[in-house]
Amino acid sequence: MLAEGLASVLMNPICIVWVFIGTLVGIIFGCIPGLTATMAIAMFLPVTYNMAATQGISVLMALYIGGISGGLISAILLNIPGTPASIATCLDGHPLAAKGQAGKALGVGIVFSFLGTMISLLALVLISPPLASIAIKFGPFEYFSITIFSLTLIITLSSQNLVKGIMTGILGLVFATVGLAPVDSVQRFTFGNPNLNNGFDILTVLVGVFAISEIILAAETAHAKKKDEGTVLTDFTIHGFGFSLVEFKTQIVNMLRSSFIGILLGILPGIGSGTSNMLSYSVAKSQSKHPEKFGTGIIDGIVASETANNATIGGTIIPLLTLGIPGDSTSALLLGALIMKGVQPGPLIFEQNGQVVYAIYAAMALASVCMLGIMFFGLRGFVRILKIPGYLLLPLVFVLCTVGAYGINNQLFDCYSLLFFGFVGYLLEKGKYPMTPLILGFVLGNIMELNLRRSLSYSMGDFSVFFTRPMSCTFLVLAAVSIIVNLYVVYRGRKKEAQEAK
Amino acid sequence: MHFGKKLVTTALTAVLAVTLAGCGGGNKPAAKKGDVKWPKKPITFVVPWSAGGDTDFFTRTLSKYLSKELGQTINVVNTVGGGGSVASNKVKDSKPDGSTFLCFDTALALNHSCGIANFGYDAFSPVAMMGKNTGEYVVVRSDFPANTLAELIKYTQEHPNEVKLAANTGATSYYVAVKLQELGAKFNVVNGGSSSVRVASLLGKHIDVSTHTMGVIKQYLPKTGNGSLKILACLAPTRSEAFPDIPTAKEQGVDLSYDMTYNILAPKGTDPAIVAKLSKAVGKVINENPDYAKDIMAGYSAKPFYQDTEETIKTLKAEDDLYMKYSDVFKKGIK
Repeated sequence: MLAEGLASVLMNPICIVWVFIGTLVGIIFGCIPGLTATMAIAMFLPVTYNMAATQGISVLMALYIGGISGGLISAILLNIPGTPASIATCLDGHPLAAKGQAGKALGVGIVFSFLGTMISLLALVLISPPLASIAIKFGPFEYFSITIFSLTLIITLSSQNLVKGIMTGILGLVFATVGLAPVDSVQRFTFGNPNLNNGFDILTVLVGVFAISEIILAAETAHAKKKDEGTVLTDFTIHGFGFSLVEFKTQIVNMLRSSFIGILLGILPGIGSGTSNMLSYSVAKSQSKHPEKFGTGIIDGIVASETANNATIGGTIIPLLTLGIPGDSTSALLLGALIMKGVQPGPLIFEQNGQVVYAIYAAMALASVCMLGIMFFGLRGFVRILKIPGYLLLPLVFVLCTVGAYGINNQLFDCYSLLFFGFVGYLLEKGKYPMTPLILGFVLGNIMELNLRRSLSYSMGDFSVFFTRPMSCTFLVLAAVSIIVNLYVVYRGRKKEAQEAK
Repeated sequence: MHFGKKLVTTALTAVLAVTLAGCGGGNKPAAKKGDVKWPKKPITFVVPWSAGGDTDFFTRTLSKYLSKELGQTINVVNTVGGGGSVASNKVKDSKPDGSTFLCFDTALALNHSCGIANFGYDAFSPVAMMGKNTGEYVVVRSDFPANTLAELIKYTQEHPNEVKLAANTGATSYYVAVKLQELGAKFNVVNGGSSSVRVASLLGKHIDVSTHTMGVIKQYLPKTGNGSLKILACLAPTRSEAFPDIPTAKEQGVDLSYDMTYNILAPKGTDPAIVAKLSKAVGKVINENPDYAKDIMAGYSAKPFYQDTEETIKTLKAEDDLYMKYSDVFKKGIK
C-alpha cells in the first residue's frame, strides 16, 4: 500500500504537474493579502471531484502548503500578513526588508518554511499515533490552560509598550465576544443583526488592522512624501537564498525548537496555525542571547515564525486523519474532500485507506520541493514588488482584500467589517498601539471562553480541577513563569536603558 | 517592474477565476415547451455547516447528479455560524428568483425552538426532503458499566451527576439530553462540540455518553473497527436497515425517538413552478439514480429518501411542533 500510495503521486506525471500547479496557485493566493489558502482550496474542490482520490487530495495538499508558505512574501515586503500564520514574520521580516535586505529575508523565510514542512512531515510519518493520543488527552481543562499560557505572550509581543500591548490584547478578546456565545448560543452585541450572529471572521480582523489601516495611512502621508522617499534601496542581486551557511548553522537550534512548537500546536485543533508562529517567535526571543535585537530585523525572528507555521501543517494533518477533527477552516475543507472521496478519517484510516494516506505524505513532500523551487526562482522577482509605487500597488491590494473578504462567506457584510477593522487599525496605529496582541486575543478569545465554560460544566463549577489535572496545571505554572520571566526581562531592559541614559 | 506586471496579471487572473468559478460550466438548459424557463443561471445551495458534515455530504452528493439533471451548474456554498442561523437568515432574506436555496436539516426546527432563530420552516417555501439518516446512536466507551440505554439511565440514578452526557444547544443532542432527564436520568449535561470532537472526548475520557451518526463511529465499534466504543441504542423510530441488530431505544422501553432529516428550502415567494420543477428533479435523482444511492451508502450508510413538497411541509411541521414543545426548557438550559 505504501509503494502504491507513493507511486500514485510520484510516478504519475499528470499528478506531479497538478501538484506543481497547486503549489504555484497556493503561493499566489497566500502572498496576496486577502486571498487565502482556504479560498484556493474551496475553488479547486469542484475540480478535484472528477479526479482519483489520491490525485485530488494531492492537489489540495499542494494548495495548502503553497498557501501557508506564500504568506511570508507579503508579510516581509509589505508588512501585511496574508494569513494569521505569518503575523510574526512581519515583526522581523519587514524591518530586514526595510534595511534593504529583502532578498535575504525572503530567502530565510523560504528555506525554513521548507525545512519546517519536512520536519513536520517526518513527525507525521513516524510518530503520528502517539501524537494523536496526546491530542485525545487534551480536554477542555488543558485547552483553557494552554490558552492562558499563550495569552502571556502578549508581554513578549509588545515589549515596546507593555500597557498598550495589554490594552490591544484585551480589545481583541472583546471583539471575540461578538456573536452567539459558546455553549448556550446567547446573542451578544449583535444588535439584532443576524450577520453578527457569527461574530467577526478572523480574516476581516487581520486584513483590516494590518492591510487596510496600512493603506489608509499610506494615502494620508502620500502628499507629504517626496518622490524618492519610501522606496528602499534593495539588493537585487541575490546569491542562492541570500544567506550564508554560517548563518544557517546559528539557526539550527531555533529551527528544531520552532518545529517542535509548530507540530505540538498543530495537533491541537483550533489553536494551531494562528498561534504557533507567535508562540515560537516569543519563545525564540526569550531564549535568545540578544532579545533586544528582535524586532529590528534579525533572521532569528523569521526562522522562528516561518519554521513553526509550516511545521503546524504536519501537526494539523494528524488529528485530521486519525480523529477527523479539522484544526482550521482550511483543513475543514480537506476533511470534506476526503469524505467526498469515501475516505473516512479515524483510527483505521491507515488500514482502510492507506494508499490515500501515503499519497498525502508523498504530495506534501513533493509540494514542499515545488514550493522551494518556485520561490527560489520567484525570489528575484518578488523583491521588485518594492519598486512598484504605492499609488499603483496599494489600490490593487485594497481591491483584492475586499474581494477576499467577500469570498469568506459570500456575503457583503464581511467587506463592511473589513473596513470597520481597517478604521480600528488606523486609530490604533496612530496611537502607536501594537497590533499583534489584538490578533492573538481575538484568535484565542473564543477558544478560551468555550473551554472555560466547558470545563466548569464538566466539574460542576469547581475551579480546583484546573490545578489537579497534571497537564492543565503544568500549563498554568508555565503561564506564571512566563509572566514573571518576561516582566523581569522588560524590567531589566528599562533599568539598562535608564543607566545608559545617565 | 516587469515582474510586477506579471504579478498583477496573475492576480487579476486569479480574481477572474474566482468570479468565473461562479458562472462557468453551464450546459444547455433542458427546457421543453410549456415548461418554466428555469434554471437559466447557476444555482446556489447554501449549507449552514462547514464542509465535511452530514448535511454538506448529502447536499454535495445530490448536487453532483442534480446539476446534470437540470443542465445547470450548482454551487454549494458553506455559510457557517450561529448554529445554522446565519445561513438560514441569509437565504430567508435573499431574492426569491430561483437562484438561491437552503439545504438544511432537523436543526431548522431546533434553531426555532431554542430561539437562535425566530422563525421556523414556514418562513420558507419548502421544496423537498432530500435525505433521512439511519438515525443517531447513543455511544459510550466499551468499558462503561451499562449495555443498554435503560441500564444507563438506571446507572445515572445510582450515580447522580457523575456521568457526563454531551449535548449542544440547537442540536438534536440537546433534545436527547432534555428527554433523558425528563425520563428520570441524572446526567451531568455538558457541552460537547462537533461530532468528531465528541468522539475524541469520549476516547480521552473527558465525556462519557454522546450521540452520533454511524459514519463517525463506525471505526471505533467492535465488528467494524477497533472496539474502543460501543452502542447502547439506536434513536430512530425503527431499526436501521443497514444495521438491523442494533435495538432502538423504544424497544428497550425508553420513549425517545426522532429522525434526522435533510431538507431543501426556497426563499418565500419563489415561483411555485420553479419549486415544483426542482422538487421533481431532486426526486428523480434520489429515487432513480443508482450512482447516487451507491454514494450515500458508502458515505453515510444511508438509503435514498425523498419527499415531495406536500409531504415535506407535513414533515417539517411535525418536527417544528415536536421541538417547539420544549422551547421553554431549551431556552432556559438543562438543570
